[in-house]
Amino acid sequence: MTQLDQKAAEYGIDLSVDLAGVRLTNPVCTASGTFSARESGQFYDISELGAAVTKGVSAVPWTGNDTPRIAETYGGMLNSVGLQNPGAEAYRRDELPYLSQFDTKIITNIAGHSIEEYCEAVRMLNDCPEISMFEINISCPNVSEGGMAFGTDPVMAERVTSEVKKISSKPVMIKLSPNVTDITEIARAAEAGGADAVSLINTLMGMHIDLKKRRATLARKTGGFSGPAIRPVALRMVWETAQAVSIPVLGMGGICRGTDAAEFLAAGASAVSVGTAALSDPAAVVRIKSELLEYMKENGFASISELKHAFHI
Amino acid sequence: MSDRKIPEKSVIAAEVLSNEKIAGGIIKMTVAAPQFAEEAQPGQFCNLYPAADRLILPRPVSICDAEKESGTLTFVYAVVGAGTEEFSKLKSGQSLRVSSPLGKGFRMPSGTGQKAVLIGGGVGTAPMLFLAKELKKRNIHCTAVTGFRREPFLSQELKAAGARVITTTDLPSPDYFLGTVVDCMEINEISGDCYFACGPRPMLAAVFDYVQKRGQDVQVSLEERMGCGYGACVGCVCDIREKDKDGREQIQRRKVCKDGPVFMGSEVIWS
Repeated sequence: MTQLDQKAAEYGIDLSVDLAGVRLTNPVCTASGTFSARESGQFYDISELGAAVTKGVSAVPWTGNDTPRIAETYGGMLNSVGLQNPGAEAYRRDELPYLSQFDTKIITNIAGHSIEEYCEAVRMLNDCPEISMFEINISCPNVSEGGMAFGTDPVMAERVTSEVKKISSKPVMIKLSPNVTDITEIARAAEAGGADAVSLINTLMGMHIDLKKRRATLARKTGGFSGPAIRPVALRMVWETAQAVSIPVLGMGGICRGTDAAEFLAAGASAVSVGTAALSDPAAVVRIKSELLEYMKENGFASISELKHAFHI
Repeated sequence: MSDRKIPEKSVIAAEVLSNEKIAGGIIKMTVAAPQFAEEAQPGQFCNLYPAADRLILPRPVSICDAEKESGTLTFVYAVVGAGTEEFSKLKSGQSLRVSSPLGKGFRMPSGTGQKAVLIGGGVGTAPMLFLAKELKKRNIHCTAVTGFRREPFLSQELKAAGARVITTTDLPSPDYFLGTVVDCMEINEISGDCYFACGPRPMLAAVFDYVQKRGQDVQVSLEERMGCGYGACVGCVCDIREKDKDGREQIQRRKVCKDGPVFMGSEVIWS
């Protein structure tokens, strides 16, 4: 048992949640793209995580975009990494065995340029018993083909979901883009395609200009905007989506503190992911879990469902 | 699995012991961090975290000095934006969030009695002090060629560490060489058994060119805009030439923060 799980037991608080049939010891997970087992694990015990949501993996290696890929903005940041990853084979060989030593669930984020590429990556990892769920990234703003193109069109979103569902032996969660007028439309399309859960939000499209260099700060010009500045947008979208679909929602977007996590749970999320906060504080995800626990103790919530039911929004 | 590790890195609130201007827009800051001072290797950096909520990214700053005896780390940084502006206002006794030393630093030459050439450009001079001290312990004689646009800094500290120091500036001065560090090395015919460089990329490329002509190589410390600064986000990458297991050359995108910041000049794709 981890340090914080021990503490929760002492407090008589049950932090566990269910996410599409997958039991998580607690609702605090990482967010894809901001977690890497060996690197993040230098700063905290990975077994504290509800789930380790790993970085987007594609069927073949991707080199990502040119640098600069990172820009800081007011209360947030932009990235245009472009899903650089060593491919499903290397993920299976290097990342999974390492990660599986820890007592946490593994959710593997899948990237692709086409339906066939998403399916191919899923096929390559389908028989890995370590993986509890696939998260399909149809919302990356940093790739030219695929990515967000699937996440902003309900017809495409439903099609990619149903094709992946046909072959996946594990629950499938669709990661949604906030770069749409009505996110519930895409969430409903994913549900109609057979999604077991949805996760949101991915980054918002943004831009930064370097006044000294007189050019766009990012080599790709635009990038994905994340961090505390986007939290109200994310929270609103999680709340809307949780009401629009009957499948569970993994909520994320600018969560920096335990009370932020509580807000997302109150808005209808079944669990939450911590992304950009891990850049401001490498052990943020564990701190947030600890703060959520203290918040629950102070407010007399014995379980996550008690917390959720205490709110009338 | 055998490589499972307990968390060995951390971020601490370190007490600022001093934080003083040493040249125009350049600040030298010393903090108390005994554990980190013990672990630090020349060429590594620490993430320094601004306190302001609106600034969410760490500032990776190379370690200028680490003293095990006093348990202190010293950083030399340029005030270039809101984060370093905030650091510049810290007073002794206040605290600053500092990460464990990160990245792969300079590899130390195995023999003793060798001659090393240390080349620093601007704030890139900072890691050369820690390096010079460590090389001296190994009985390696150092020549430091340091280049600045205007006001030089760290010359006295490098001399105190036993290095021969040659300083270049872009402004005419009777005390300094006028021109680039590579001009200076060429004219003074500076050579050694090993080379170490840190500074702006064009300077590093020119230094590599200089040593390559002599059939030698140089360890270069690269700079790139970083996100997390510890290898999780893959924001800072550079193209590195590597050989696969069959000896075929291939280009890999490596993380500057984790696989570097120090690479061999011959590995870097300069263009």
